[in-house]
Amino acid sequence: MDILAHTMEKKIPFAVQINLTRRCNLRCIHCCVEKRDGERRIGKTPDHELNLEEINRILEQLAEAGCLVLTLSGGEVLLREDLIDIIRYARTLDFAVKVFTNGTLLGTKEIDAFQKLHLQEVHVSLYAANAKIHDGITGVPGSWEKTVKNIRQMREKGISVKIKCPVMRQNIKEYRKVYDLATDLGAGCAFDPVITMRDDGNKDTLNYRIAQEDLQMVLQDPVFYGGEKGERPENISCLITEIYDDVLCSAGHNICYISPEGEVNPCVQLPINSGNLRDHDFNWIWHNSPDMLNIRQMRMKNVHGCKNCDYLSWCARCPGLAYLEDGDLLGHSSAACWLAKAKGNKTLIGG
Amino acid sequence: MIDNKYINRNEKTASRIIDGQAVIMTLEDNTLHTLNEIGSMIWELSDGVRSIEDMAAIIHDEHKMVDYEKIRTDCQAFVKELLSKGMLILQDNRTEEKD
Repeated sequence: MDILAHTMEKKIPFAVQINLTRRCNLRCIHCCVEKRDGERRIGKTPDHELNLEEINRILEQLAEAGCLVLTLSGGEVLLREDLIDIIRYARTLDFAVKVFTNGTLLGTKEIDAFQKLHLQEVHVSLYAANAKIHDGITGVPGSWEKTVKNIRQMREKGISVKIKCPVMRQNIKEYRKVYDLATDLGAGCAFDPVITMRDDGNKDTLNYRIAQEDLQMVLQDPVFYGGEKGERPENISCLITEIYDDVLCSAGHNICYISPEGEVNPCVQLPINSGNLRDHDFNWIWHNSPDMLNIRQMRMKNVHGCKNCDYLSWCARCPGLAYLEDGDLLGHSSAACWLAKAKGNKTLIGG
Repeated sequence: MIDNKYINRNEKTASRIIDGQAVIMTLEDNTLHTLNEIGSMIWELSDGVRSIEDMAAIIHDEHKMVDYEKIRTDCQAFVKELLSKGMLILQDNRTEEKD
């Protein structure tokens, strides 16, 4: 059985991301999480965040629904004082657990727990091999030193770590050095040129995207895909649509996202509130929400304005980004065009 | 030698039964494994309480038409395969059953 094909076909939520908080101790310039001062403070868990009891109940419902891969993210997830309790219960329910963190708040207690609970992977945001550049992006002096120290400690404990580095104007000269640092630390790494807009609709962060000519350059660099041995990713969305009945992507088919307040969305990139887990159980929302059912009916043939595009064969269109940036799930996507043109021009000019 | 041991799932795995089939991720290499019906039954029976003989007896109860010895031999081979992939472990002592 091809489990991914099976879960797509049967609408089983195989991989789910829960963002446990919007709070963060860093102030990253490109962060997509809405900047609400009251929510970005460090401190007591705000009343509107799902509490431990609610989260445990949701985890039980997800396990029942067939979810295996559980990603816990934020904000900064380590600001949840009950994070280890949440992971422990998730592992009791036999989830494969990934944690996304900036790495600064990890202490010996958390690292020991990560090791004992056998996480699938810890993803850590690192923007440069140079502390000054990294701290300039996070807005917090000393953050680079803490993050790198904690990556090293996790690796010493045998915890699988992947460094995630969005590539922006501020750090484009750093990504190769980040790759070398990751190799030195025994960590994996992944680079991404797509900076997304804030979830409150503010597009200021898009100014940090690298220039088109720089994008063309990085897309030719094997290091960008994980080094000489790394495989260049295929056009994933095209593969999905070819294999799985021309659907837009896996959002709402076998993946979904749960917000800190319990809203269920088809994907972390697709902020369509399909119901709240404080009002309904997961199974009801997943199988009955009109928004969820609607997105499942959408097909690539419904996408408009792109059929005659010269760059169509290089297009890895994300419906979430099209919706966020351009306001139409089925319309033109600025982000996809930006990437497709860089890939297409590179090929067309023999780069 | 394997016959005297109790079979348990390796803690470095995550798993889910999806439409009757066990889907297992070995966490050290992020690899997904899908087991067939009998394999899934063996996976579910791997709880540190049962030996291969115990498992074979339970499977034989549900598949009477198949010879017990054949089931036991197949069970042994399958457990060995999952051991080699890091999905199962062998225990000298029986895990205490939960209430």
